[in-house]
Order: sequence, then structure tokens, then C-alpha cells
Amino acid sequence: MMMKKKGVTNFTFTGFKSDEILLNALSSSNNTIRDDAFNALLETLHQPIYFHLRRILGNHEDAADATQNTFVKVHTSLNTFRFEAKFSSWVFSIATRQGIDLIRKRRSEEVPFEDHVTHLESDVYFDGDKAAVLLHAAVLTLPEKQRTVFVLKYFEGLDYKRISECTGTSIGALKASFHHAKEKIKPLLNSHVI
Amino acid sequence: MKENPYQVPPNFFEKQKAEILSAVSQSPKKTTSVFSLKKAGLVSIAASLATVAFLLSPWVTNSETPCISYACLLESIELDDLSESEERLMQEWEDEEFEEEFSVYLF
Repeated sequence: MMMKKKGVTNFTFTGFKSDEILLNALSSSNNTIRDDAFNALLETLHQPIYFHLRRILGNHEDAADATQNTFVKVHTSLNTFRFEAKFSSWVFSIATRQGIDLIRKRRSEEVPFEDHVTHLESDVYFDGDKAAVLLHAAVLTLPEKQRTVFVLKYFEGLDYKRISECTGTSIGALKASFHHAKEKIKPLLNSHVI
Repeated sequence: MKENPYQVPPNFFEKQKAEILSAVSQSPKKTTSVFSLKKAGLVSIAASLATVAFLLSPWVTNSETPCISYACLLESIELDDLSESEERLMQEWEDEEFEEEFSVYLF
């Protein structure tokens, strides 16, 4: 169970008491220290990053590829982290960029809604009812930015400040994107009787 | 957070973790900039002090339940640049919006 005391930052990487200590370890010239740090990073963020990407991309293969690319990118880009946001938000911003790049490559928003529904219904790694299928299929029809904001806001439950850290977008723009996303999803859901 | 319908193949995370660690150990890593190291060093001192305070605090953590979402990881992090009233207003606004638009689809 996580600590519930408001105002206390309880989220740390396993074995590391702060982002700064983790960053020092990840940058260490000592292989053992560096490997331990990367292990801790994976222990904490591997699953959240994967499921974030899965919601954005809709299928296991792409999410798995983007997850792997995310952590390799984190490893090679550590020198660009400037402590302007939480380290985890920075990792999520890299993951989100990887996801957006794949959306662009696949152009999945151009795939018809019904095709996404069919795909999810036949996906052995999707275990949701009809409502879940329709909602996730509708999300996959959204343009990349709206999709990302909707996933982070609706499914991940993040507030706009955190989403802003992860996407580098202003809160006003995020609210507009979320509004447009909802407006596009609503008719798709309403067109199907659950 | 909403229920997660997405599943993964058996042992997927274990296998991918090994692949990532292997890829990382083979890929070149750029040297951390002097700026980052200096800043990290300074903040580390502060972090060490914070750690002591953390260990002495009455709150306990339990890492038995793994988080699979970012929101779970961040759930108690303070939004320090929003006043209480602003936070409350934003939360009410969001709750109302979700209730109006998605109450049927909450699962």
C-alpha cells in the first residue's frame, strides 16, 4: 500500500531514495552500481510504461517495441535530463514520444473504428467486455496528441500538471485536446448499443 | 484508475527486462554533462538529508502491491503550485465532466 499522507513524496525507485541518487547511480562508471540502478528503474517503471504505450498503440507488439526503445533511449539520453521535472515524468515523456512516433508510422487513426473493434475483440491479450472494446477502439481512432492526452487523463488518471510535464504541452492546450477527444469518442460510443 | 483490460503473454515482463538490460549494456552511453553532475551532487546532499527525515517519519511504505500505472506511482505527490481552492475547483470540474460524459462507460 502506498503512503496516503498528502504532501509527502513517497514514490521512489526501489533502493534509491531520490531521483538524484538514482541518476548518480545510472551515470556511475561502476558497472555493478549502474546495473543495479537500471534494474531499479525497470522494477518501478517497466509495467506502467508498457501499459501506457499499450493504451496508446492498441496492440502488444507495438507496445513491447516502444517500451524497449524507451528504456534504451533513457539509457543513452541520461545526460540530457535537467531536473526540471521528476525523472519518472521525463521517462514517460520519452515513452510518449516513442508512442507518437509509432502512431505516425502506423497511421492507426486512419483505420476505421469498426476495424479497431474487430481487432480488439480477436486480441487474445485483451480481456474486456463490450464497453471496454468500444471505448479502447474509439481511443485508437483519435489523432496522436488527443489520444495521448485522453489516455493519460482518463485511463491513467493524471492531472493536467503531470500530463504537461510528460508531453511538454500547456495545460490550456491539454484541456482543449481532451475536450476534442471526448467529442470524437462520444458519437462512436453512442452509435453502439451496449 | 479504470480497470485495465490489456494482458501480456506469460513471463513477458521478465523476458523483456532481460532483453532491455542486455541492449543497455551493449549500447553506448553519453557522458553525463558537468552541469547535471554538479547539480545532481548538490541535490544529492539535500536528498540525503531528506532521506533521514523520511526514515524518521511516522509514515510507512509497503511495496508489495506493484503499480502498473503512473497515476498509482504519483498518487501522493503534492501539486505545490496549486492552491487548495484551485485544486478543489479543478477536481470538481473534472468529476462533473466525467460524470456527464462517461458515467455509462465507467468500468
